[in-house]
Amino acid sequence: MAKIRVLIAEDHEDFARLLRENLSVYPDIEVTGIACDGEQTVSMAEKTRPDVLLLDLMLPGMDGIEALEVLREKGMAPKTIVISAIGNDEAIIRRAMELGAQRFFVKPFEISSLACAISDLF
Amino acid sequence: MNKKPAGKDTLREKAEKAAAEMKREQPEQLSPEEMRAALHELYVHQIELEMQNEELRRAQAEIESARERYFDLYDLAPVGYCTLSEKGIILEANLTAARLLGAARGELIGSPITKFIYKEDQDAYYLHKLKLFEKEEPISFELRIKESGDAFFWADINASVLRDMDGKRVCRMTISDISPGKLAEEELEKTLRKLDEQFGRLQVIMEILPVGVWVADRNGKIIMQNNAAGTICDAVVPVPQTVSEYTVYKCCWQGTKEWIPAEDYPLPSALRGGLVKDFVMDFNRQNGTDGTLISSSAPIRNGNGDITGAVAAAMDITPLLKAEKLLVESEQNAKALVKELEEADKNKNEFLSALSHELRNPLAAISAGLQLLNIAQDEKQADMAKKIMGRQMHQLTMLVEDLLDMTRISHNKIILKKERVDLNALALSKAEDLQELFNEKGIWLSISISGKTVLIEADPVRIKQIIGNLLFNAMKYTDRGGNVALKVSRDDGFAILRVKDTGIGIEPAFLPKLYTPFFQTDQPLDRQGGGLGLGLSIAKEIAELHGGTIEAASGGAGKGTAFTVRLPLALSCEKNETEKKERQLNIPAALKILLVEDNRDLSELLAALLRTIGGDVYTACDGLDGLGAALKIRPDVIFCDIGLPGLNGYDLAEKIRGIEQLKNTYMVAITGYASAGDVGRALEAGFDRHISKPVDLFALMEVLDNL
Repeated sequence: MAKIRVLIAEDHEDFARLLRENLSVYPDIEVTGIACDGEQTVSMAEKTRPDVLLLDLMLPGMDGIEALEVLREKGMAPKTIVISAIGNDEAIIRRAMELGAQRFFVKPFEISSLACAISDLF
Repeated sequence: MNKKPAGKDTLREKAEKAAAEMKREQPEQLSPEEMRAALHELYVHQIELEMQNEELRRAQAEIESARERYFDLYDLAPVGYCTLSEKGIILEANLTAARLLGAARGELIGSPITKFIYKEDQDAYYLHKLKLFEKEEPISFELRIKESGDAFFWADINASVLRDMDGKRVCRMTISDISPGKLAEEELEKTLRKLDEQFGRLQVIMEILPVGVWVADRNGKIIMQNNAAGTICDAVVPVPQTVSEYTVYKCCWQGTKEWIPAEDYPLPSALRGGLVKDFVMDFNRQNGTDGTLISSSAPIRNGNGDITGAVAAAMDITPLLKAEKLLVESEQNAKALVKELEEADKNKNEFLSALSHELRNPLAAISAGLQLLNIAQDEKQADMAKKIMGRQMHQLTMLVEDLLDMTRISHNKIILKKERVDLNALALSKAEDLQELFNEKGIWLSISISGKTVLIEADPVRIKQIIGNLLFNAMKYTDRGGNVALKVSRDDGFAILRVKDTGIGIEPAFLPKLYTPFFQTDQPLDRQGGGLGLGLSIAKEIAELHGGTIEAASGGAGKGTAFTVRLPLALSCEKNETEKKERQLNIPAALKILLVEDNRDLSELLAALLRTIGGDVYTACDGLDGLGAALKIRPDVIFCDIGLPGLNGYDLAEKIRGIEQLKNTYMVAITGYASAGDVGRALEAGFDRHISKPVDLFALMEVLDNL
């Protein structure tokens, strides 16, 4: 069975690295890369064609929502899970949902739950 | 009507008798001629007598008629007549008197007059009567005559004393009803009284009115004015007597310096028929101050509509205008305050959202690290987790420190532990601390220090905090490949610290707001650098607490930013220049360290840290244990937790300070939450130093370095 390819878009480097390490334990998940800003998210998504995008909304430069918009415009639609530290900003959550985000994790969270959520998408 | 004339028969008898007497005197014999002559004579006499008789009858008839007329007049006269005896009994009365006294004439005669006099005037009547009979001179007086029930009418009484046919004294009295006149008089009196009251009221009203009131007659003469009017006039000029003297007034049209002509003042205008409302004029008081009056005036007209005068009212509205101005100002102030509060509220909300973000990220990393430790497949993963967790813990601690600093600053509770330090050394030390971080970020950090020592009287920890905050800030807003330059110099009595970067720069409009707590220039989703925006506020407060300043300059967006901190140089800086030795981070070998901490994990960790520095570390798990250990090993340094079971940290410090052999022991308090009060209490108890949890290696090294 092919692994689920995951792109992490997260500017908090330490967290992104730990997230990748944690997810590496799950045999069905493969992290294809870490993008640390919006532009990089778009370019890496184009290059690696991930199945799932773990997207932090608060990215420097082009933010997560904008990156998602660009990806939608380009016809690329990885299944998206938002991982955010911004809490309950309804407008932003709604916008992310409109753009196809399927799950929403607020930091800090159980990575095992995230892994389950990723698996559940397929 | 007296006696009737005597009857005919009686007269005949008298006449026969008289004739018989005459006959005796007549001659016996008369000639026929003589007889005829005598007959003729008799006949003539008879006619003569009849004529006289007729005349008498007519005279009598005239008398009868006159008499009747007299009685008619007497009875029907408009005035009541009556005759009273000396005792006051009515002897005679005409019909008018009977009508006035309200009784039939028959009933009246024989009654005492007092029966008809109103009870309250009885005494007055008695006195008048006494006087009348005593002096026998006519008198007149007024008294009330009873009518039915309690009613009465006012009567004018004229009385005089006469004597009757028998020579007895009687009183002739006339009674006339003067009630209508009396009533009119009373009415008049009432009206006058009312007028008087009204005038009194008017005067009182006029005097208490806070408004000046003037009344002029048709010629413009001031015929009435109240106190307030006087006060206003006195404030301006002596009071004019007529409107023609209004030339003495020097008032100006409101807001101009143009004098108002005398005829244009409200009162003269009203005398010409004009109605003046709310005429506002500026005036200059005799005492030299300026003021403003508001005045209205109206003509007074009689029933024909002719102007008979005018009234004017004026009020000094200077205080009102002042109050109004104040009101407008305070309203504006309130609005500004509301805006400020709204801004503060907005900042607070943004801060809370930022705080949540800033807490969640390291927490997420720590949580992820813990989760990784649980499932780590090799040593490498575990090491990575620990390293990152340590770093994130440090970041959280810094965040909490910043928050505590802001609280201390807002409560003025920052305590500076000033000493003479070289700014060069502090800058170098801090730059060294951060060098690795800059390397990681790919930002070039260059350091340039002054050729001479730059001594300042300052709290080195706080000054390093300023330097650190400025360097962090520069790092946060500078992209990989950029430069940050730190420079220390001296200039005109000041130590200058400058941090310049090639980062994103600041729009000039944001420069004044830089030091507002929680202020950040960027949008929430684009929070590139992270952080709470407290660093610059704290840096500014600390600089100012040291008598210094902080300034930011930027060429604008994309053109980098430079912060300059100026701190006063220590006095006699030159003299001490050579005395101060460069501080080294070398820890003297084999320091004896006692660690008193009841949390076993923490105790072990700290002990391990201290041993890495090279100390000879002993541990104790409560106060009493600590005291025993101190006496036994005589440590150079004691690190002591405050919240210990049994003997707490303060008590332990006090006990140790009381022991001669331990008086040189350096004591450091370690506490969780460090308010200024806690620090003060620790120092009072005998501690030399205070550090807050969580304790890191650098803090411990710095303490030991300072020994």
